[in-house]
Amino acid sequence: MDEFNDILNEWVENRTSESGYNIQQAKQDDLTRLMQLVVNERMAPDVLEYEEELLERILARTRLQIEFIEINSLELQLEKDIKLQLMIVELELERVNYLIRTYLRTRLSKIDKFTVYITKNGDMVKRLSPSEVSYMRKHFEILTTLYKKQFLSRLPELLQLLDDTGGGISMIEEPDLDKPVFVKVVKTISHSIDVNNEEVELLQDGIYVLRYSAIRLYIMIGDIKLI
Amino acid sequence: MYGDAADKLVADAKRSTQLTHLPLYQGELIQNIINETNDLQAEVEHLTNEEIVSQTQSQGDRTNQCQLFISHLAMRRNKRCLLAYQRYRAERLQYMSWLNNTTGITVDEPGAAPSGKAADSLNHNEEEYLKKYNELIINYNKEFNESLDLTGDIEPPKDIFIDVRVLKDVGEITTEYGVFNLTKDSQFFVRYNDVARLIQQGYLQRL
Repeated sequence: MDEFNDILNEWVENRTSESGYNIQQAKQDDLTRLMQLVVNERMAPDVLEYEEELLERILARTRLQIEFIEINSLELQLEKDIKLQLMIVELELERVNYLIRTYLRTRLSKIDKFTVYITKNGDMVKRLSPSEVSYMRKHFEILTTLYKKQFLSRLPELLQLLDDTGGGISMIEEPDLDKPVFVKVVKTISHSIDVNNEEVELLQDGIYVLRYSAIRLYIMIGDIKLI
Repeated sequence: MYGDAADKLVADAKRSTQLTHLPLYQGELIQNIINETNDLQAEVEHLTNEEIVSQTQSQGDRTNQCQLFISHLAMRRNKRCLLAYQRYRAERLQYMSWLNNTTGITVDEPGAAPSGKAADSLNHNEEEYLKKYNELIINYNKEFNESLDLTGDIEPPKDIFIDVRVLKDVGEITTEYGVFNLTKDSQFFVRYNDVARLIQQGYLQRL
């Protein structure tokens, strides 16, 4: 049944629907969005919201592409023309995989870095996908086990904590939300924003350097993108 | 002097950032630091002993307070150094896991033969950690398509087929495009995906 659905979906997806909304365009938009997500994630100091739906859509499409490659490479001898097409599909697949890989691994590296901060901050946990949460918990567990076994358990009790904020230096590593970032404005922000008591107007297509904390919200809505 | 051992440990971690392999685990040095910290703790306990506190306070002598303060600082510094050392090593192990390469030779130096196993320089807790972290990555990766290998190359792909030179005998590999006999110093034109792991592990060099 699933196979039929795929074929049907493909047919539906390939034609322009009556409302004039082009599915092909939607696919392209998804890919552009993924590229933007990768850049945002790499430039932002903290972990951004996980875009589950977008990733699901793209992963589903890559599955179709893999099927396409598998089916057609079996009949390689019959049709010579398909060889080039196969190469193009395969390279495209590799590129999309690369984007997803970079996106997920950038997130994981930030999750590893700010584990304690994220765990202590309910809002941050909500930004992660369920598998990222379980990765974070599990990794923290094995890492603390390592510390404990190696030396922590043999130190005086007073020093065994891993989230100690006393003694002048906090052990919890936090993202620097005031980090300056380069941004490009996608849509003019209707009201000027306040940066250190200074009003800044953000006009469409303008490129600015601003503190991340000042424009965080607009990145989430998509009115501003990081570059 | 207090703190010297911890200093050595941090210097060791710093030195290993320049090395392609992870050096031997400094078990003895770490034990020394732990002993030193526990000695300091004993001293702190002695100093906070009520008798001594009341005795010195009545004399208006602040030497004890000062000594107490320094001991606390030294203990905390020791702990930070221990953590920094272990964290650096743990990060190296993570990096190795992501490279599919637990032999300890990084790809920065493809000429190096993967002979000396990193396992030799790890202590058993670190080995355990490496094993568990590998499992963790594999489990996380399972959530996605089979074709999406998260441990793959983090450079953007350019071509599907690439030229490679064999740095170390691999033997025969079978791919969709036939069987290749990868002997040292030979060159091949192969599908990148078929040999990606061998490149990561330092058997092949991309030309």
